[in-house]
Amino acid sequence: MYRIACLRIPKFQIAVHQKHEPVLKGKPFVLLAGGSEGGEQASLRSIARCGVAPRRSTAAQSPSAGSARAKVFMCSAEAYRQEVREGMRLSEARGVCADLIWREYAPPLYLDAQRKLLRTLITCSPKVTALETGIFLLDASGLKYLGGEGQLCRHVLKACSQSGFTDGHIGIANSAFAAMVATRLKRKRWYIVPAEKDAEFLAPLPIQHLPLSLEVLESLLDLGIKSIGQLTGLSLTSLEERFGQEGVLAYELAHGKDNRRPYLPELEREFQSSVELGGPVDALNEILFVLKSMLDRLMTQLQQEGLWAEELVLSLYNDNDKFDERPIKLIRPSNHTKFLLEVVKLSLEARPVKREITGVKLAVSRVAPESWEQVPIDPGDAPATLSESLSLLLQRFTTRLGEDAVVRPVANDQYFPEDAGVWLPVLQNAPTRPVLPIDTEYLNTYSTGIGDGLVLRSTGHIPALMELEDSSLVAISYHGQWHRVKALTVPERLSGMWWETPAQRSYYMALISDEHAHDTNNRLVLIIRDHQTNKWFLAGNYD
Amino acid sequence: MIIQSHVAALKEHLETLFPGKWVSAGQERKKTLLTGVTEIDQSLPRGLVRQRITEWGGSVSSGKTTILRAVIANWCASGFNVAYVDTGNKLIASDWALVEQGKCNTVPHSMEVREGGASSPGRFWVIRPRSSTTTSGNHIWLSSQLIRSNAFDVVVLDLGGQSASRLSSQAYAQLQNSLGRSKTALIVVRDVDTTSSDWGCHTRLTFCWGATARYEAGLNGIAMIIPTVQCSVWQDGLSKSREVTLISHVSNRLFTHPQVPDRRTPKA
Repeated sequence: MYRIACLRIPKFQIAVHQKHEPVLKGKPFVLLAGGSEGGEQASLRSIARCGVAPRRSTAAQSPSAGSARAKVFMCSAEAYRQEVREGMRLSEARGVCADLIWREYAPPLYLDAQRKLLRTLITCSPKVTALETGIFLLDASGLKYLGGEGQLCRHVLKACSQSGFTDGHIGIANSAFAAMVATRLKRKRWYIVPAEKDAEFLAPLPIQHLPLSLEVLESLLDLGIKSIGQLTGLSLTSLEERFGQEGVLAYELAHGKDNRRPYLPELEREFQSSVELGGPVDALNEILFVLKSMLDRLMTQLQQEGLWAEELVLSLYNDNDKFDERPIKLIRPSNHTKFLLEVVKLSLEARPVKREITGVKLAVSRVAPESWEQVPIDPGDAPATLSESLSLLLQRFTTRLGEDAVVRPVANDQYFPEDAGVWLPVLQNAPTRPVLPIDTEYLNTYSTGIGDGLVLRSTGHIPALMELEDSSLVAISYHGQWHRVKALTVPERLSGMWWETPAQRSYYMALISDEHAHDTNNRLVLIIRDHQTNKWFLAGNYD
Repeated sequence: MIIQSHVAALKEHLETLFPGKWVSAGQERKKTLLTGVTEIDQSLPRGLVRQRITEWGGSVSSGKTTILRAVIANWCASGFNVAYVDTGNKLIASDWALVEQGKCNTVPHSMEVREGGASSPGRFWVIRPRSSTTTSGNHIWLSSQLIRSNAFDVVVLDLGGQSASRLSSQAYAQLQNSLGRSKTALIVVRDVDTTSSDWGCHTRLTFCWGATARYEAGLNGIAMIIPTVQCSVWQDGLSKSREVTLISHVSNRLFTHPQVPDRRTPKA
């Protein structure tokens, strides 16, 4: 049985601003979303997706923020008491509250606060996830011997208070949705839904708690479905037919089925390196010497993580006094030490260091996943369409190894396995040997293949001797050594080519082992009997 | 299919515990050189490491090339370009003919099928130097050139059972230098009987036939021997062993008397 705790901090954004600027506490204060129509919509959309709104200044009231088109997104309790409401234009809000203070919606600020609170909550439960801005999920399973779920609620609220968020509500249930609803309901600081009773808990509640669009909600209300319990009485098929995926989701949530779970938070890695120099340094070469080793170390870390540096920050110290900090933005991300060292060198040459240095700190402030893009190989394979580097490569190979050294395998619709495929030079459009193309549609339809199952590594035709017992092979000798035959397939007998070079062969797959070796040293080999010459050969090892 | 669904369910569960490693789709996954063989990918969750050397070893007949072919087919289906340096000219064209199309006759049972695959499948080139030019230095030069071309995501250097199959420190340095300037992963295939070869490779996979083998019955006896493959993965000082079960296409002609070919064989 899985138990989930949900922590909701009402008006989290307002609380973050008040924590950031204590002067805002107890004052009528609003957050504005966007100064223009498009910007506003973008902001609201991103707010719904937990804060990826366009980056804006976190500073105090700016002229753009104060424009009449900006709307109130969220207001403090004091502002609410003075009749300021969400959705009002700023001019209207100022009309009803002359002392109104406003700030712009600042997602980076909230994300940072959320991250810090998340780190604090790890002390209460190992699995913590931020579901939305101001809403956190915590693992509440297995608390029987740790004071129970009530004790967890007390710990979480205490941790929140210590972080500066005094208003928090907790709900505990089997599913994340029921726990979230529990935080909204009672006046109590926490509400614990009994185990396995999520559906019963949700049943009497209004359907407005479900994540439904306005259109679907109105349709359900028109149908007389007002509570979640009434919704669960409907059949899933009818809900799916009428409302599609949205109806299915609502049905599952109403039954207490929710896949959202808290998980272990990801480690936040910092890529930085700092060096304290033995004495003061002012020569560029000496600084670069230190920076090279720092870059080497940082880039190795980045490469191991499959990352690129997008921005570096170089900080220079003189006796604990940071006198210079220069961000170095890269046009294109990179993790090549040599290139980055050159960029740092150019930065130092463009803006020389004015004081002696006793310490250096180099940090990668922004990283991006490395794109492992390669030079494309054009499907045409014609020399003219190949990239220059690839053409040069082929030129080198053909000059040194010959024209047929770089090849690709092509299926050839032939009878004997040796002829069922040919190597064609990659630059040769018309093969010297005719190739009968195979029916790939047939292969796709029947999921079949050509040739034998395992990969054969040719050994050439090695003459072999066979030991027979009752007309069956029991041992094979090649290269002067006897091997015991442990298993043998029935032969595939092929004959033909009577109009050119008659061939009549039997192909055996054999599992052999050394005469005096233990069982694990097995080999799978291809043995051929040529009926024309009545000789046996070892043709290759299956590997 | 049941096993695969169980594996998928398990992955989803593990994803909730360790996010970002088990169930991930889209571009990030495509750039990672995951083999597609669940048993190997569990040991190498980030796939084969680019800019590093991976040893792919096993005795002369151990199943290593069969597994490698399935992995290469998977990579080609995902849009990765692969170059194979066949130093001993031991490969048979028919075994590799459908690799570019992401197909091969024998695949591990747990192989994840790429649904849809890449918009343009990757290329598979084989370099088959003539016997007169097969020197160790030549192979290293070939591999270095392929790596530096920045056209191939994976370069396979198949040293086979050559006496000089152990890379010299000079060759290792040359390859590592080329890899450092590229985005390529190098796989060195070697016929080795022991696993105690510590020569500086980043990851080592060793293969041998498993204890069990499946015998596909034909009309008059065994039509096909399909063994299991024991795989050991070594990375960062940790070693894990897994058994890979193979499933193989068995040609119809092995079950019945071969029919008279209904096509004309062209003259050579």
